Amino acid sequence: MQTSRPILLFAWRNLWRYPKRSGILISVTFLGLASILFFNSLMLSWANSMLDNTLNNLGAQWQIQTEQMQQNPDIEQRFLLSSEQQKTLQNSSLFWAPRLNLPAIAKSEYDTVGVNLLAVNLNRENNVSFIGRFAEQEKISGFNNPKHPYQLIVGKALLDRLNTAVGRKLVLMTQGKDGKLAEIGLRITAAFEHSDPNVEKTMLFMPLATAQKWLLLENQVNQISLKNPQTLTLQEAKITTDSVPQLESIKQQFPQESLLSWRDLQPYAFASISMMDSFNWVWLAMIGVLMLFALLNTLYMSLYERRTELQRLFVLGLKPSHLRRLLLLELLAILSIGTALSWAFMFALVASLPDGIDLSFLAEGTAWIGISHQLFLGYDIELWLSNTLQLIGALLLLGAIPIWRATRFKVLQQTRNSLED
Amino acid sequence: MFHSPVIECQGVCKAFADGDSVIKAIDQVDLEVFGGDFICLYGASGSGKTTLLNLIGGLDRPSSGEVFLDKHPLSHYSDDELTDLRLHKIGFIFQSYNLVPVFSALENVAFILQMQGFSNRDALAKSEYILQQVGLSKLMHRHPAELSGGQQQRVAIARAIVAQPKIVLADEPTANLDSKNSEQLLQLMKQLNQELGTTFIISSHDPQVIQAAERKIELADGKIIHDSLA
Ligand SMILES: Nc1ncnc2c1ncn2[C@@H]1O[C@H](COP(=O)(O)OP(=O)(O)OP(=O)(O)O)[C@@H](O)[C@H]1O
Ligand SMILES: [Mg+2]
Repeated sequence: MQTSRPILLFAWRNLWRYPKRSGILISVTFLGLASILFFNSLMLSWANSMLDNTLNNLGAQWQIQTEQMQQNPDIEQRFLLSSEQQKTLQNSSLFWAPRLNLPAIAKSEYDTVGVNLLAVNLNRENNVSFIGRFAEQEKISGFNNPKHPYQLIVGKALLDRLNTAVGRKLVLMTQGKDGKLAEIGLRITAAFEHSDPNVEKTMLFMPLATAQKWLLLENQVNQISLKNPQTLTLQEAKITTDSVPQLESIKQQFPQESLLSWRDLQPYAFASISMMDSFNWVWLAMIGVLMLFALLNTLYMSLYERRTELQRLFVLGLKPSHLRRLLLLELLAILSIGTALSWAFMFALVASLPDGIDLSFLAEGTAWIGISHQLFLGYDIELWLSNTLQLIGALLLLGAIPIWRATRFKVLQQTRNSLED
Repeated sequence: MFHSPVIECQGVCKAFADGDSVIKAIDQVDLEVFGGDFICLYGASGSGKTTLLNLIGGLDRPSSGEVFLDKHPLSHYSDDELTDLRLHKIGFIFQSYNLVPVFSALENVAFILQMQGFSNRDALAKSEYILQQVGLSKLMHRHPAELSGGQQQRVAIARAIVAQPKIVLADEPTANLDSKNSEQLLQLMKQLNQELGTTFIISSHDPQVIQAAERKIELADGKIIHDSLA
């Protein structure tokens, strides 16, 4: 359109006419949007960290176990893992790890402590839980070697508590299937660290085969953890067991046991992660409202100051629609500059934090809320885009109200007092 | 007169509510304005000069009566059509705040043409020509803030006539100028009136303007009490 060009030029010049005011409007947009993007990226990273931690603790993504296992994780919940079942698991393309998860007592020369004994196959735990990751990092290879069956991996905190060390021996006691106390002596092979001090203080890991021999539980386990080979996004992780086709055949193979998802196993973690996700909206709304006040206020003021000029233009033959286009373009330009600055800031910020944000000064706290010491900000383009569109869209829509009002000439302002009205 | 009027007011009234009472700003005005007229509308403050100009320019609608432009009653036009009419057929000059401050003199004049749909090139060429005519060829790239009051009013005149409107309405165009500048402005308007045949209706208190006008119309309390043509 012919008229677009002069109006565009006019809008552009007007932007620099009140540099201070434009500066304020741009700053408000920048501060508001940048803080929304930053906070929401942080929340996303936070939620992802929680999810990662949740899925990498022993619960994994799904778990096969008896109904009562959650209340009483003990030897009574054992079930046979047949070769048929193993084949089905193997063919499912999921990662899986069988375990005996038992309450036990650890005894050193110095102290006796109640612990959570996990008899595992470390090769299988690799990819499924943190202990697998740990074993991989520490290159613990002989753990499943039947030639060295009496091994134990203990948390550092528990080692301190028991006043013992790697290389020393530890005696474990747990209830056998006959109801009597069984006892075994194992050598401590390695000590792991964990962001959750509770895990470090209570968990210890021994080879599954050794435990099965010790407790006379041939091919029996009381827990199988399952996990998708791909890293999951928040949305994917929320999927329940019903909608995963690979789980169908597995369910059929375990008619006695139940297949639970992490949502059911860890309702607290699930609730927290979901809450993080909705914080997104709370923050967006809060900042949005603040920005709106600042922006609309300044906009109202500027339009009020310019009312004579707008009226003159109207008299000269510019239609209200022209004037609206002009003013909306000005607003759009300001919002666009603010948006560009916010995005540039976010890109620079993410690029400048390749090692993530170190939260180790909150170590105890981070463990308590279930995240790692390190939060990694990512280029969350999709999130930024949707946040930007929502915010800028709302600001444009609401900014249109004063603009519409300032250009609503009922022939002339004078007619306000005219009798016929 | 043998030719028909470009503007005709028939029994035009404009009343404003003022609290409980009613002010008749324009009271039963009958008026014929012919092509090429150079009119000064004068009268005491509050006599209704601005109101009458607004009614003629389609900026306000009469409480009763009718204004015709080229025989077309303005009451038949919608607000948007009136706006178009102003853009194409009427030029306006105000007492102050005439120009867009972010545009140069040239851009101010060209803006109206561009809004009429002229290409950028044509608009600038025409505007340059008109600015030369009003004696501002050297100053046309200056912004209003860099021009004197008289120079600004000349730009306003250039803008008012650049699209060759039938009528130019000027509301106290010399009120902010000294007598020398007023005189120059008047001469310019008269010259354009004679060369182009543009109709000028100028409201003013200024004796210089009243004197220079071909046709003088005096308003008092919203009524025409004297018309030099009659
Ligand atoms: N919007 C309005 N509301 C109420 N009264 C108005 C309005 N506009 C004008 N009037 C009244 O109408 C009358 C005529 O006003 P108008 O502005 O036309 O006078 P004027 O001759 O132009 O005066 P001046 O020489 O001071 O410019 C005045 O009494 C004025 O108070
Ligand atoms: Mg007036």
